[in-house]
Amino acid sequence: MDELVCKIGDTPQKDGYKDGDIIEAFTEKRTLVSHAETILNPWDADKNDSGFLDINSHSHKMYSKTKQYRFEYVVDKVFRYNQFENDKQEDVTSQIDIKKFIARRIFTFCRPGRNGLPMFGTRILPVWFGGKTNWDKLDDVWNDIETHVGKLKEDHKKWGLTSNELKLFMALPCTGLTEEKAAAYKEPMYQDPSAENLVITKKRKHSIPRDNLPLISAPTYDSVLDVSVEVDLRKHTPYNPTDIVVEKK
Amino acid sequence: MALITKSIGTTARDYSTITLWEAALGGAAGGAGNDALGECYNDSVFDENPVINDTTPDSITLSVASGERHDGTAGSGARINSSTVPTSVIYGTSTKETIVEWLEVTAASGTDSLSSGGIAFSVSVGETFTARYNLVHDIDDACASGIAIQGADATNGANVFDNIVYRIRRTVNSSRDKFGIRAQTARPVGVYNNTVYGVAHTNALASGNATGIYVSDNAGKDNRNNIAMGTTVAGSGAANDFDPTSPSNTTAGYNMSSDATASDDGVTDNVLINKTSSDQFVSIAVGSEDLHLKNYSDAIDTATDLGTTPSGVEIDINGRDRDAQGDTWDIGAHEKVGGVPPSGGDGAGSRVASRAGSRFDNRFLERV
Repeated sequence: MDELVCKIGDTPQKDGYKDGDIIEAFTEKRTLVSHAETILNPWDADKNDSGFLDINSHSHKMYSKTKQYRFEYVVDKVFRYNQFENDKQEDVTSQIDIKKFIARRIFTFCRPGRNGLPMFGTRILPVWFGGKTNWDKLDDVWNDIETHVGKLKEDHKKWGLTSNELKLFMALPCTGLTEEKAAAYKEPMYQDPSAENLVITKKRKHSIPRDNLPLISAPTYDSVLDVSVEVDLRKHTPYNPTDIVVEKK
Repeated sequence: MALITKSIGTTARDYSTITLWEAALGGAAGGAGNDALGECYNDSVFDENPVINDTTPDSITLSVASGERHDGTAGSGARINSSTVPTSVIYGTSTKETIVEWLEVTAASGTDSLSSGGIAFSVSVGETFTARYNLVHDIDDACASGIAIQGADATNGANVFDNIVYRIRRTVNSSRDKFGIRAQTARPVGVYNNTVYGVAHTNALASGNATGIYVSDNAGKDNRNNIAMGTTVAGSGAANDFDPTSPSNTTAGYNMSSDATASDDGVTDNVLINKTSSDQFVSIAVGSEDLHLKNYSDAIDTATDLGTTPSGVEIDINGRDRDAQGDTWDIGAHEKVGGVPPSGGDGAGSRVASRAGSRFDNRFLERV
């Protein structure tokens, strides 16, 4: 399910949010990525005797499918494997002071806390990941989650809006939202979009007027306007964004 | 006046995205007369491009909760990885004091953009803007700069300090320039103790220039204690670690470059030029960069002591307080604890720092 989250009420600021402005736009893919990262968060996972994560850990599986590079330190050599190019191997030993690098990873990742570059394997044969992230294999990642973690993809298609957000904003279900469209919906309106120094004239270029939401009854909409009450409209029949979103002039 | 602190993340936090937190600054997350603090958590990667322009609170700070911050390397703490970048990853244009700190900021490739940056502040009407302790990297064509301060006017200007910025590149055939850190405004800007590496134009047909650190020459500007190295172009443009024009109005010195451009006003001096990048940093391997200083780095103990002005400049990228620890300052974002200075130095400052440093620093970082 895709979602659009809108502002309730106007802010007094001239270039601030106005009623109906689309604050956030979540595609189903973005939602599934976020849930997968949260479920497989390496900083919450159990560590082995080295203070690292095991090579067959869930986080390792995720990074193996999504990260550009895998690094392996073997017998005084550091090899970089490009996972986007069939594990093309390069020796990068001369570019890393490996002892200092590993020492800092131990100092940060192995101590309590939820930070530090995740390290896998052992201190003698460490493995880590880097470079860009690609979620083309999102389905494979979710297969792993369903098989090994026991959480269902079907249960994770809603963005995890917080209690505050359900009170303050209006979240609408929709379908057919592309990444490009979602990005466009969240763009401000600029005085001159081609200028080097961008001046915002309106916080959002796109909004959803109340009149474009005939499926939501008047009493329900009244409760949406009460920002002290949580209202979740995402159980409604999804809208087609092109039917309800208006681009400001 | 109160400090309103809200958590931001995807595991039972106050707000699930930075954008939604910012949208609540007018009320629940801030409100008139208050100081708003948004603390990001390392639950999942933030994929968004927040615009911070609310003017309700007295000040706005976007930060990362303690224990959730990057360790100076990519993928190690709370981070924004923007998959679509219409303008900047983070764009600040509030009229209130705004601080962005401790975030890792990166982005997917985008179109060949003229404006903005991974973190960009437009100081058209604003108060003080500060970008500090951030890790900004792998930003290709979508943004012109890693960190950008732009605009014609500001009440108090801006500060950019103790950030690590690397692999800021244009990959397309473009005549547009590319910058690691760019301060293009007539107003006061302080650029201190940053480490910038690998700003590049990688397309052989491109004519644009690449500059590691660019600070336009105006009174009130200050450009000291910075490292910019490894700037390259594949095409016909110029590659400079620092703007090669000697400033006559900006205070500049105590900078280090891998070419001959380390910024120097001719009075402040103490610049280090033509130094070798691979001698300075723990790792410059693409995808596993670690721009902490390593032993014998030329930057060790060679910076000027800035004290505590602007506020927070004394804190390095690891959170170490150089001022409280009595360190002899290193150039760049990292204060090397127990660092061995270049040949010929006595390392006195570093030894003092080592004794004053934490037990963890000594155990894990000096012995190996």
